[in-house]
Amino acid sequence: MHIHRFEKVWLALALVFILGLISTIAYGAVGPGIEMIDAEGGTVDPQNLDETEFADPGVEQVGEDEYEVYVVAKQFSFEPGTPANGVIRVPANSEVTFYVTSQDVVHGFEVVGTNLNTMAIPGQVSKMTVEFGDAATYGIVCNEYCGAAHHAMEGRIVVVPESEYEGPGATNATSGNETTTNASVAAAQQVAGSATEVTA
Amino acid sequence: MSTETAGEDDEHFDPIGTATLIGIYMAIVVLMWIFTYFIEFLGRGLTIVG
Ligand SMILES: [Cu+2]
Repeated sequence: MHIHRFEKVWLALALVFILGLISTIAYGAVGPGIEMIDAEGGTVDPQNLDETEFADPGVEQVGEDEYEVYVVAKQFSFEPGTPANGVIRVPANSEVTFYVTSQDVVHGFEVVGTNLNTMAIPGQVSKMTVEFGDAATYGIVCNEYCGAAHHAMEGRIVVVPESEYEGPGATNATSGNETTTNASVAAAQQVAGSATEVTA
Repeated sequence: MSTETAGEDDEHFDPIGTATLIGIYMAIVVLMWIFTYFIEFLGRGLTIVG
């Protein structure tokens, strides 16, 4: 079989290109240590989150600079995350593992402008570890349509300077927040209500 | 038309314009991949590492 020399060059370049694609992915795994979210987080019963580690969601310190954050996504807030439920507060230069699940429908958990992004699926736990650097504030949005107030479902991660970090306890929603929580739920229900009226 | 006598054909048919065009496309794709992966993806700060 005769192959034109131009074609030989093209075949060789195409092979080199494919090898290049594969090696950048390999570099991503070895160099920056990029991982995919898989089934490692396990499953939970979304009807009975009270009997799981999601009963009292929030930040826990598990090592010197290591933290775990349990987040429950629900219509239409993150707990913690949404200011009414208490924002997520972690210190700078820490390694944080998020466990995210949903208690009702499918939600999204996207930290805006970063690669931290997962679905929050009822019954499943998304586990992901991130290294936070300097102090900063990140926004969280729900990127899966989840109902009438989907557009209002957002939250915040505040990375505070190590010297100003008061500990994980300050993150959990406390009874002092209940009034605002109820107010935001009422607001969400109002939005849901008016949306129903429009449809009806 | 027999292809067995090939070799001679090459000298008469070198689609240099097409080859140049494909070369330019290739370069664009390579640059776009580098931009997408190293700048847009890896440059986005927080990344899942576990
Ligand atoms: Cu949602």
